[in-house]
Amino acid sequence: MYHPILPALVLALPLAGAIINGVGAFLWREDHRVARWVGPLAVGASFVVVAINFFAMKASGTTAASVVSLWTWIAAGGLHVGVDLQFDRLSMVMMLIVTGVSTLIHVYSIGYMRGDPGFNRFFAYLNLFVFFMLVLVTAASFPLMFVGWEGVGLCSYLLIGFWYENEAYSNAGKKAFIVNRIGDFGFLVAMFIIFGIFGSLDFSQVLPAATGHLRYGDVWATLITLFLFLACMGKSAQIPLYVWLPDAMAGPTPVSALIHAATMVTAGVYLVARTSVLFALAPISQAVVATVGAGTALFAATIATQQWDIKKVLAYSTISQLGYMFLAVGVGAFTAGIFHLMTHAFFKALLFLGAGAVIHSVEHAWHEAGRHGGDPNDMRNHGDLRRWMPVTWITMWSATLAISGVFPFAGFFSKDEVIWKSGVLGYPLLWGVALVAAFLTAGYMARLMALTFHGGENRTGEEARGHLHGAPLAMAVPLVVLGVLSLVGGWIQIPEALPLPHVSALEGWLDPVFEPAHHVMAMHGGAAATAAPLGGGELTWGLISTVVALAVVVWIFLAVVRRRYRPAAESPEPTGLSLVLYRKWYVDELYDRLIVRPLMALWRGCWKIVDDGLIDGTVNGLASGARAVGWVGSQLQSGRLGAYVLLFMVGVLVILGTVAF
Amino acid sequence: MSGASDVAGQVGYLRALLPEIVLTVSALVVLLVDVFQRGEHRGPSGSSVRWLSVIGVLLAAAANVTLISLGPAGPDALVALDGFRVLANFIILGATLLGLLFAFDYLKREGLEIGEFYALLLLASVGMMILSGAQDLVLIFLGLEMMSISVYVLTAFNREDPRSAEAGLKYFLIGAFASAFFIYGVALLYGATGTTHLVRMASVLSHGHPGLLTAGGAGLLLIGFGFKVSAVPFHAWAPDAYQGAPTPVTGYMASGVKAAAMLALFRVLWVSLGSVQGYWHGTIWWLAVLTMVVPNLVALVQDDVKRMLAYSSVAHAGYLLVGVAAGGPLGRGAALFYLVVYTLMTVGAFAVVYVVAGKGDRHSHLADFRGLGWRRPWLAGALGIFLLSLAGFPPTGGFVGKLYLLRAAVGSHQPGLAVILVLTSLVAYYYYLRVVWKMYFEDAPADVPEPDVTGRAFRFGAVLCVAGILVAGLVPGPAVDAAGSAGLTGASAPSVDESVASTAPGARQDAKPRTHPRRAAARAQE
Repeated sequence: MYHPILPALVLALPLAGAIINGVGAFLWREDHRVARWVGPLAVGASFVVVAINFFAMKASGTTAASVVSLWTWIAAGGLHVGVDLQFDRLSMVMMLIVTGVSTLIHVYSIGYMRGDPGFNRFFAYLNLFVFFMLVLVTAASFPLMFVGWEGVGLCSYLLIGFWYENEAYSNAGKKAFIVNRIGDFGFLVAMFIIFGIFGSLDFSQVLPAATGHLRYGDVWATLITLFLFLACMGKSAQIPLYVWLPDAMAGPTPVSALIHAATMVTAGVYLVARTSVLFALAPISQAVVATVGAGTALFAATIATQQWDIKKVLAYSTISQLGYMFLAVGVGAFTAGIFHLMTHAFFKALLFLGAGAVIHSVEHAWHEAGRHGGDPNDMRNHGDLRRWMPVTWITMWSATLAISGVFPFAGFFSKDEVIWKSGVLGYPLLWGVALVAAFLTAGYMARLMALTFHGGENRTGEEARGHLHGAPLAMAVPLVVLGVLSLVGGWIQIPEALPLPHVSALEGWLDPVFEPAHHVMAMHGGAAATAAPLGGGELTWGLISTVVALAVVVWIFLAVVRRRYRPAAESPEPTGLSLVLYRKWYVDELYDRLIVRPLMALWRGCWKIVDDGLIDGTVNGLASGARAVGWVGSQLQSGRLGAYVLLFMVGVLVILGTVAF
Repeated sequence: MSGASDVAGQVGYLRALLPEIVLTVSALVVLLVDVFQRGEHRGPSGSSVRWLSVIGVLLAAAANVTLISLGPAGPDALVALDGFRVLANFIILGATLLGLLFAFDYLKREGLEIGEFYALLLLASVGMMILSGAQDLVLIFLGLEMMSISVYVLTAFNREDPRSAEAGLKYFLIGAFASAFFIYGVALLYGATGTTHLVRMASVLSHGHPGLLTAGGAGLLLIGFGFKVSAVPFHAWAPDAYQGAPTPVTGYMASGVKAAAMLALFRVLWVSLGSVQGYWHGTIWWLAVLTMVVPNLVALVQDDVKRMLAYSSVAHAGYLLVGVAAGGPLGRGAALFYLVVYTLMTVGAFAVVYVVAGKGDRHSHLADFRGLGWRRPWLAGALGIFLLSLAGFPPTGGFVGKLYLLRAAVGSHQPGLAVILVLTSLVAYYYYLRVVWKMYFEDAPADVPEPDVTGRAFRFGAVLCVAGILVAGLVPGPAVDAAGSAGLTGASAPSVDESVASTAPGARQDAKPRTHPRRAAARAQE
């Protein structure tokens, strides 16, 4: 029998860290020693507690969820919501990923944020984020999950606009916040419907009862899941609500790695996986999720091919990879979705951290050389950095091969699983889309590596070159750890079809969680096919995809390395299709025309007419009216005694008149 | 009832009137010491008279404490011995103490350091205490006149200043006029009931058949009191007198005179005329409404802060009349609590105004307060708190006081009064916050005169006021309890009273349903 060990501590430790560092941001702003230790240790200790719980749960072999009730939060009429934490196999996987990757990124941040005046504040926000992320994944009810959902959104906002003196950065924070609001609306509506149907918002009440309350294909199941997916689109940056994520790169790079790549943006995938049985009951929603996911995967990958900003490439890459995860959970391969979520957390965090190391180094070199202006994020200003940054270079190659899906790196196993499942579970078109996107992925990653680390020519500038440096120890260690994980992280789940030992650790671990959903799908859908849409088995296609991916990597790499690039300031503007892709298909402009400007005009109208005219007019009118009456009254106060006595006598007559009659 | 508390005998009266006696003696001592000190020459009085008068007030307060242990007075006693009187005395003595503390600097600045000032102030306070504590209309009238005559003189105290003299004269003339109404009302009530004693009058009225004589008497009494509490439309003297009087006197008048008259009105209405509410309740209701609405509106267009505060204090009479109209333990508690807070904030506000206005009280225009927050942070901070409390913002006592009044109004099923109180308070925000705005959000041009330097007595008084307001706002419990449990001798069925008060805020002291005053009067006349 498994009982969660010190469950509250998992959440309390990061919260305590946030409080200590938050106090520090005020009281010992200049002294960064406390934050340097407390920030990473709070999260690291939380990871240790999670790990202990993981082994305890594994040893017990339980498949049930353990709910820990802390206290009652809302009790109103039939609604009862407790602050209840749920420790089950799915939340355990998520907790391990969140605390593990967070610990590494906290350590990295010590080096990256060194000397920043907001150092303590940064760690306060980062710790707070981990706390809310853990609330999100351990919540045992929709409302508490929503608290975490909103909390991570808040931290995301705070950290995107961390350097708030820069207006563009704080605007990026606002953009993220507002776009996410649209998604949150979906979460709320879904909750209302769920409460209306089930009379409860606890996972333990709703999910097991789903098949009893809802028929397969029930319109309410479709509505609930579509609204939930709306929330996911916002949080996990899917078409059409993905636009905030590239702008969110304004935040410090560790933030991009932790929040906007490894953890927060995957919350939507977790939400679908958590409510898998509801999605299984709504085939239309499943198709929508899968289609949006595959579409996003391809669409974002095309944009990534023509970006010059290293973080923008990674941002679109993240959107694209999130698309894969939704494709997986959409077709019903929930384990594959979570698997890709996990490997992606490793290699994408690593890519961001590596990019951060590059930016850090270039920025530092420019600063030393007295150069101002120029964009340290622009890959045209990098070039041949492997000579200065070998650790970053090698580890990033590990991540690149992983995300490109080259055997035996982690991404090969998880991505191939996603693509294969979409093919055999009845979505041949999406299977094709996913394959194409996978090859694009290999392409843009090879381009990124070639531009940044190779080419035999460095473009940072003569004076600055001598100041380039490798990642300091605090940054290098997380890079190495994540580099190793990018290689071996996929080995926990090796398909039977490959001529390798069959490993299904993750699938075996998560199957009980998704059992109800699989059961519903097995009852109503057909059996999974055994061959890909174009024929051929899993082994064939695994072989094809890894060979093609590797070929694309080599081809693009050589093409880019052979070309001579000039620093960003001297480069010509892109033209033709690359301009369209560089401009991100003009989606931001489209939104601006179609949504932002009409709304602004409407709101300006409201402001001028309703606010200024109607409301202010009424208020000001009342005020002037009162003043006018007051003025009349003050005229009665003439200062003449006779007038006062007259007023007095009027009063006397009225009073005596009323009492007499 | 123990022998000590039997005030029918002469010794009993000496004990029952100890605070008034102590204060009277202090006033006489002050006069004598002043005469002997100054002798023939007409220079300023020595500082000893100041401290003697302060000591007199403190001794009177100590004597007032001894009243608590005395049991209720006998049914025929001329003065009441109840919690209501004790609290009223404390309020009056507090206003007197603050008036004295704030007067020291002012009198020195204006060259008015004459011993009579202190003696008059103390005698006026004696009159107030008698007014609010007496149980007989004749004695009430005596207290009223004793207070009024002293205050007339105080108003005109600065003979060199024509504004002061004019204010005193106006106040006196209309005051004499109002006193005539008052005494006529007493005569009519005596004619109707054969007594001037409040408790006995109540029993006569509840058993007999009250007629037109009673109605007329009640109406005339209301007019007399309406003048003293500056209820609209008998308020016209107030802004002129308040503005013309020496500023510390204004603060003292606005608080002490109003407190004494308001509490006496409460006692007379709810003790002697409680059974004939139909004759007066509608009138009080309308007086309250008019007194809330009119001065608040007129204050909006005042550009002189002293005059604005004068209108504000008239408006506060309206809020207090809500407590009177509510009646019962709740209304009583609300009125008493509000008077405590009101005294602190009004006296304090007027005091700050005279400091800013400078010699001759010339610079009390709104423009003279520009940038005060940066020039004199402590002074402006104190005034800010007084104004916020007058406006009724938390966490000041003014907020709690208004809340209490609202509860009393709603509890006595007069939501109309509550609504009007809230709306007029809202209007008042404008003119209170305008001063705050001037102090903190506008820069002072070079030609704005520098406010006076404040003395120790002023600072002590100001700290007392601020502290009192904040305590009343943050921990109102003890004061609310004291005010809420203050008994009123002769208020109908006190035992039912208290039990109802403790259970429901909406309790009224008489079970009689309120009907339209005129119809009730008609029914009473049948």
